[in-house]
Amino acid sequence: MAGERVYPDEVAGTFSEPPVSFTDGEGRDLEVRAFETVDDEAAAVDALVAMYDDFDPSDRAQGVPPVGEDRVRDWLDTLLEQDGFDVVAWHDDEVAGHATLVPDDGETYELAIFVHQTYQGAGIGTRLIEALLGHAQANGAELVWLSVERWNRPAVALYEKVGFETASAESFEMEMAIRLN
Amino acid sequence: MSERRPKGAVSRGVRPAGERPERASGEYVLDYRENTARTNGTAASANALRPAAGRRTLLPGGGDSPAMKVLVGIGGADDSLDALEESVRRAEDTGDELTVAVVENPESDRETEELVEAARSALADAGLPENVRQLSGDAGSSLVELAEAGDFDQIVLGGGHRSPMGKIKLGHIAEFVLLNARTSVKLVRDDGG
Repeated sequence: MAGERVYPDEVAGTFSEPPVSFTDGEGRDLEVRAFETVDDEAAAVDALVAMYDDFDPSDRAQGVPPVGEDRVRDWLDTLLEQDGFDVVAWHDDEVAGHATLVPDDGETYELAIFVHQTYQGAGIGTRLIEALLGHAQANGAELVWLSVERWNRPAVALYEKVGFETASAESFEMEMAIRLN
Repeated sequence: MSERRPKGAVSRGVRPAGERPERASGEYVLDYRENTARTNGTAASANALRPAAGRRTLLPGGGDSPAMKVLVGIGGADDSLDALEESVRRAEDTGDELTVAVVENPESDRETEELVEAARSALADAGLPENVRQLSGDAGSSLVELAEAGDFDQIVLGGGHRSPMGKIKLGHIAEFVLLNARTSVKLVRDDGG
């Protein structure tokens, strides 16, 4: 519940804005870009759908991403049409990962991040989430929260590394939060 | 492995278990098979999937599918009303003995009296006995206690709400009941996208 969520008092450090280019842990060249800066939006959506359609169902969390191309497309349309923030990690024309902030109640955003199985464990998640937070920070966003299954230690460790703190831990899923501005 | 079905074969409300694993009730699976066989796998109307009133369906074990004694807990969140609707629909088919318990849910804005009235009319509209109880005190523990004391077969609750992102989050009552109930617990989930 939003009412019980505790945000850090201190503002997090400054995150770099996208675009960000880097070589991942496997020697692949990647670029993280804000979604709205892509040249061909329809093609970018198709590439995102392809990534999610091929996403390992056992890596789903709390029912997302949905399974099946139609459901994936509906879900993505809902995310992208809102007044939030989206960044995509590209490996050439292929989507390696996607991170999104969805507006919640006007002043807060819910965060989610997905890295395709082929690209996991190569440091892409950190780059992706930092670029997303940098994008939102530069555009005035203040409060970001997320929920994560408490047994998902790699995810929790990633969130802690970039500055998220535990905001509520009394449910099956724990909530974490960060203050950007 | 889940059951597959032709798209559009079933309208909302009575779906084969394959599409909603959390509703895995043997009756729906078998009724679906029987009816699709009868219609050669072509689209069947929702009514065709409903077993005739009072009919008993054979389960894989060979026994009857007896009507259950079901306790539906509603606290006013949208998903709890889905649970009520689904349970009434099922009871119409199976003859389940339904009791609706209206609990105090601090997470809901709906008034208790309003919920009691909604439950009564939902049961009455379906021609079911108006077994509606109002539970005070902690919602989760009062539901678990009533289920044990009343010898219920199953507790039915709403299956959670979705965050702006689309992530499912269970309510606190559902979490407590899942961990503490001695009966089976069913969480009713809306299709939700």
